[in-house]
Amino acid sequence: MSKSDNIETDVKNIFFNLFPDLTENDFDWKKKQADYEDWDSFAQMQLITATESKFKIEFDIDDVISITSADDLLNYVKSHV
Amino acid sequence: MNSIPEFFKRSVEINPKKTAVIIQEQEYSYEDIDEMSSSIGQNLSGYPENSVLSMMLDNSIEFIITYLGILKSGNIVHIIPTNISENNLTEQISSANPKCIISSEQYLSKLSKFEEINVLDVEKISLDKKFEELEIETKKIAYLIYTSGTTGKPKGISITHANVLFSTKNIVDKLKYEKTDREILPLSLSHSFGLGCLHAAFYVGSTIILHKNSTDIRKILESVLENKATTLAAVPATLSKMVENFHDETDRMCKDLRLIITNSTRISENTVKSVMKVLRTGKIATYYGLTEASRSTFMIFDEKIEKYNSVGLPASDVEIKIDSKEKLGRTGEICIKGPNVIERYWKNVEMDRNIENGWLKTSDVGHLDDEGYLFLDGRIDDMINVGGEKVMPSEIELIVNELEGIDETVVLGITHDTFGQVVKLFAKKSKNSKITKTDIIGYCVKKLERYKVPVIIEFIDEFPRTEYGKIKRYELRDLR
Repeated sequence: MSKSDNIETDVKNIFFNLFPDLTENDFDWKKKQADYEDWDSFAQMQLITATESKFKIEFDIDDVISITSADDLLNYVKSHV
Repeated sequence: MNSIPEFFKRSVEINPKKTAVIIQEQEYSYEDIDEMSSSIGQNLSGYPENSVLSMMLDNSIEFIITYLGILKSGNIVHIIPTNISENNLTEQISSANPKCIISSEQYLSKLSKFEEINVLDVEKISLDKKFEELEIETKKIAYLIYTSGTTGKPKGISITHANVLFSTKNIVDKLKYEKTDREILPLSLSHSFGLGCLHAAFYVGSTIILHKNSTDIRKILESVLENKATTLAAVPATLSKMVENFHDETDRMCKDLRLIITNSTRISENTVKSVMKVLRTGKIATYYGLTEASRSTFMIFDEKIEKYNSVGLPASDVEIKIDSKEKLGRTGEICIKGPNVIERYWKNVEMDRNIENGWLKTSDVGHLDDEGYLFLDGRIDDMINVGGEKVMPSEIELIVNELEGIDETVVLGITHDTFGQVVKLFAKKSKNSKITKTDIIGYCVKKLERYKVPVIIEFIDEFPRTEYGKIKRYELRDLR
């Protein structure tokens, strides 16, 4: 498995961890925050904490707001690890 | 019986030659302590009755004879812990306004700045004076202790002889202390847990093996065996260290104890169960109380292990109610009424407002279950307000503590622009634990409402603690 595949798996796992109702079938990299029932402001903060911890990176406050899909998060991680 | 000197005297009369206290292998009989404390009392009898006389001494025979001596002289003992900070000492002296301070040589320089107060070296007080016992009113203040608890702001608490008599009798009845008991006491006598144990021993005429401190676990364990102890009084942190770091020694040396008593800091289920295994037939108990309402509940875990999170049932003649004005669901502020509750604080009108019609508002938050067992949920000051939703840290702490790889946690609120406050978690990992922040968040998401899930997590090597083993939450607040 390549490094990129690993990152994808890890980001996906963070989503499954944070949104326990999410299933493999529901998961879509392009699915937007508004389409998640429980992706609220708290989940956003928890998503950032989990990602920072997993990949040992830090988010800028402006970037935090710009993360509105799993794809956004994946791209951010890829460009910062 | 009306007073502390009176119940002590009863034990002296019943068995004068019996060993009352052992300190560093030196034994002192009831008669020895009676004579020495009477001499101190006589030396202090020149002060007008009800004067405040301060003492600043380590755990020692000098502590005990000075304490009893001041009481016998009809005065009020102001107990100053020897590890007190410079600022706190100045505040206490200013508030208590003592006529003299009795201390030992090593602390005299710390006290020299109080030029207007007579500072006496306990070693230099003559011990050969004759003394005539006074009759002491039960409603009279016996001692004054300042507590900062875990909040940092000191307040003077004046305890009457009647308060002590009531609490002591409850301790003795509930925990079945007898004159045959030999208790290991590695607790500071400057705090109400340690002092309460001393009172109980003097009440029944048993023996105390007094340690200078609670840090040397091996020494405490050896002392249990060497002294054929029957009971041990220790804070939860000491018990955790015993069963975690000295398991085999604890198992071998403590197996014959009939009782281990600890206090109301939260104790983990693992520690309770490990201690229960060690004790074979003995019991482990805890209590809940504040200095201003000593020993308000008792919990004997062996009788109700499924309620290991509880601090037990109210003591006899003590009432407990939960004031739910704050709309915290089933939880609310714990209020206590009974003969163990102080009438008023020491010169502190503001704090006196916390006592209404005999009910003391504790600022502790808790709940009672259907059987009347009390559970502590935190402090009012610790309550977190997340966008209008009230969150008790203990609810989150208990959930995270369930995770393997987590030793201990503290939850605090941190300021947030949108929500007012959000939840921050401090966690101490177990040795070799590989648990991650993602694991913690993932687990919390499954168990808690979203707004209760920590948004910031910080791993910490050790929590700052008071001498009593309680976590200093106010210091963690500074780390926010």
